[in-house]
Amino acid sequence: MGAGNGVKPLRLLSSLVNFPRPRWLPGMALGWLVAAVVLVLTLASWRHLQESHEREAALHFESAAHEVRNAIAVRMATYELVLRGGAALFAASAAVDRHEWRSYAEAAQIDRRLPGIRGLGFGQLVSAHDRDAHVRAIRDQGFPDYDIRPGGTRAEYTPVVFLEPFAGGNFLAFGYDMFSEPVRRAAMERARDSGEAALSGKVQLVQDSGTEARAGYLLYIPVYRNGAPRASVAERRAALAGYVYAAFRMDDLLLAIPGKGTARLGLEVYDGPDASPAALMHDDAHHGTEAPRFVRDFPLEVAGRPWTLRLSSTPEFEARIASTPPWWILLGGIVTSLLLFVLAVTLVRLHERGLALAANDAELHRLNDRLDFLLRKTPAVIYAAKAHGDYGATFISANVRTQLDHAPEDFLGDPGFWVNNIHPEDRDRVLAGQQRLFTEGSIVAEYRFRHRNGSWRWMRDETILVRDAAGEPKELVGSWIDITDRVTAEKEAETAQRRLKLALAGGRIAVWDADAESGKVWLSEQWAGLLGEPPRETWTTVEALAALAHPEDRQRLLEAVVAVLKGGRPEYVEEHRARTATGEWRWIQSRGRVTERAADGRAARMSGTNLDITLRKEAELELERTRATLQEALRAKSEFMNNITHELRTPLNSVIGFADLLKDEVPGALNAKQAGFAADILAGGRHLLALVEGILEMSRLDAPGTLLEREPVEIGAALGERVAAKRKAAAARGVAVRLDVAPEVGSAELDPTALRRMLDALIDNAVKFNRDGGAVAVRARRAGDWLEIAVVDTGIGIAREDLAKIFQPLVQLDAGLSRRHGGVGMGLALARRLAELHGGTIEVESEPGKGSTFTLHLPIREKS
Amino acid sequence: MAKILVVDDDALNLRLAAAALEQAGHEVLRANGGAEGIEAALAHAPDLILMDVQMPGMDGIAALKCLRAEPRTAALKVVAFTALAMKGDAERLLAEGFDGYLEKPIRYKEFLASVAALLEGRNE
Repeated sequence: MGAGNGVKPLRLLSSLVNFPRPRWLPGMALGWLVAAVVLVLTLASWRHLQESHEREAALHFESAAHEVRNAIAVRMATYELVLRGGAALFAASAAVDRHEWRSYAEAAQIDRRLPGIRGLGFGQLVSAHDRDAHVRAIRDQGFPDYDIRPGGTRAEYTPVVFLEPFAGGNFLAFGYDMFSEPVRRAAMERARDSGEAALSGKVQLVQDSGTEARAGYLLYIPVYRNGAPRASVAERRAALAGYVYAAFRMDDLLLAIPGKGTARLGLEVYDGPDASPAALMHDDAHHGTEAPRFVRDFPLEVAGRPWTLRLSSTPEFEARIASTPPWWILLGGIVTSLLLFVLAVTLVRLHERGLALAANDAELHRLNDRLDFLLRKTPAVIYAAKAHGDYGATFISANVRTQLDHAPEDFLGDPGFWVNNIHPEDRDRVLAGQQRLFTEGSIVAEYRFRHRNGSWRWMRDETILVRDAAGEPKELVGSWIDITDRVTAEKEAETAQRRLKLALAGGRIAVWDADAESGKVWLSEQWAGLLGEPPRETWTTVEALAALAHPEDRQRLLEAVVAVLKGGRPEYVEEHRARTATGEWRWIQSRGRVTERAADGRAARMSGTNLDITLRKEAELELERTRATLQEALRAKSEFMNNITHELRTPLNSVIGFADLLKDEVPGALNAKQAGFAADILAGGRHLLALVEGILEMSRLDAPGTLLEREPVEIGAALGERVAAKRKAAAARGVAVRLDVAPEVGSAELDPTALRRMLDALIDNAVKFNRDGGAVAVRARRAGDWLEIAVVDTGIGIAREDLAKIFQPLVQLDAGLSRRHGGVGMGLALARRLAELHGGTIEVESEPGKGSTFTLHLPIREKS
Repeated sequence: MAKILVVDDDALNLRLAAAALEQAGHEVLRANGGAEGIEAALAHAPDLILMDVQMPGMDGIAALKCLRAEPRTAALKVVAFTALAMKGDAERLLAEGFDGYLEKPIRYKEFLASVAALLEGRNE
């Protein structure tokens, strides 16, 4: 635009010079005329350029100022939100410890998200009476050097007890009594009495001691004891527990404000609705001899307090935006007109045509470039538009391309482009708001606008109506800033709060707070909800609350509460039933701890949560019922097995006994055949008895609560004894049994009877299924914390498909084998079960025809 | 030889024990169950009583208590005669007050040797 207006007069001049001179016009007169025309045009052009620069400079300032204002507003709102979250932490948990505070500060990501904040802390109200106890308590937390500073006796103290990040300079603030310092004290009293956030005046931050002194501020939010009345100033003073606060340096805060560093605007911050010198909190404005060209005051509410931000242009800013076209353009124009006069005269005289003014052209282009540069670099899009009809754009700065990826031509070429790309949900609101321009002169609108890639960007649009001399609307000018990040951040914060509420409601947790003196209890709205009433906060008494508990649970619950009140336990967790409005029972997990003690150590206040665990409890009870039924079934089965084996065994014992009498020829001498039959009856009877006893044994091991009797067992000795006992029977079949115990085996914690049974089963098995003249090797070694006993035979082996079956009771692998060897029986099944009771197992490897290896793995559990 | 009372609820077991003991020359008295056993003990004051443990009605342990409580039978030698074969059973029975423990099923030679050893204790 600037370039277009500037270039036009040069073209005109050029055409004038090239104009064929009428014969009636003398050469010198033509020269004067040209000079006069050029001079007039230069001055007009200069004037126009000046106006347009002035307007754009104002817009540029406006946009930069808004940007700073918005950034500060967002930042302060974030500070406040984080502080309120900190105060809410105290309200929700009643007793916040150092660790919880740290977790909160870490979650708030002070370093990344809250630049400028030097520390996020909690100052605890300590009365003169409690001072010594308080100091001792903190020292006991592992800070032997802790003390309240400055020393001396005062009526009350507010030492910093938590401060995150707890490092570096912040150590200096630990224990610092903020209330002892007048500026801080003023803000703290304001916060305490109003119940609102309060910002201190300028202070020297404790953490900056010894380093460069810079202006610091503290933002306080009062924390009251939960449930204490706080309707009046007197009540609030009485209920005060301390302050959540943030310490920040205005410099750091502003440095971190995007644009503030580069925009070079001066900033004055006033605590109050007016920019009165007494209320000045921060001042980095330029106070030179000349007043700044642009000044803009913004009201801003910070932590419930009105602030006034005064943004002013600095000489540096003014120079950068070059709001006045340089004087040399005017001088250049005048000089040029003089040169042109000479040139024109010369040209006329020589009847030649002149072509020389490229130099000026270049200057104007350069100027245009500068303006372009500025418009491209600033994030605010500057525009002008028609003040009627479709509000079509007449000018829009080229940086709209970097902001929204639209070309200026999109707007200039299509009067409906702006309206059509507003988010449909926002469009009516924006257009309706547009009408207020004509009554109020300026409007601010925030709405979504379509980026060229199809996404929606939140834009802040500030528009001023420019009227002509007659007061008629002439055009609209304004700035357009992408505020998507801010809006997203705000929405996230909102979502987080809503989520917390949902979590409390959805998790069915009620928070409670009880006053020991009066017996009054406050419960959050979820409590009424848990009891089937409309959610609302409840004020009740300890007695009324206890009356809701199930008679069977009441005593236990009250005892747990009393134990905590007396200091026997730090916290109680009890599950009890509570009667609902409709007379049903809900299971409640109640948790509580003393959150305040009187000077004499008696509990003054108790807080905690009540959680509805009905569903879980019902599932648990159902599980318990199922388990009991199962236990009963197993016990009944075990008893039945016991009885039935007794019934089987009694006649069997007689059969065996009589056969033994016969075999021993007690009634008289037998012939060879009779003796053989007696031996067969005896062998069959004993086999049957072994099976019956195996079944009984299995049934006993399966019964609930089977316990081993563990004691230290010398493994080498135990193995030696069993191998020796089995050697005779093995030798009868020509089977040699070898024992190989590694020296490191030592002893293990085992049930010796069970070990004996397992070894017998494995060795019997190895002998029984061996070939005649074969060998059995028993090897023991230690593998870490495990004992490994391998029994290796040279027998018939076991087919792969049978490996899994051999540990099942009474399995028969092969009819022929059974006949020959009398079946597998119960031995291996029992041995495996015993190994499992020890926490171990038995594994088998086998190669049919070559032999098998059974390995017993048992945990050693040796006492060190 | 000695006068021995066998108490058992199972007729076969009674006959078996009697056959073995009579073969060794002992005089055998039989009682079917605990109550009968006490009567027989009172009537005959045997040198040794073999008492089955697991019996319906009055079991072996209850019968033993009765015998011990009655002055005329308190000093009689009573031995548990049972098939309860679990670890700890023998100790438990001795703790109840039995003077010894005999396992079923019997092995003829070992059974007679044990009885003889128990009877010898009588003279000590």
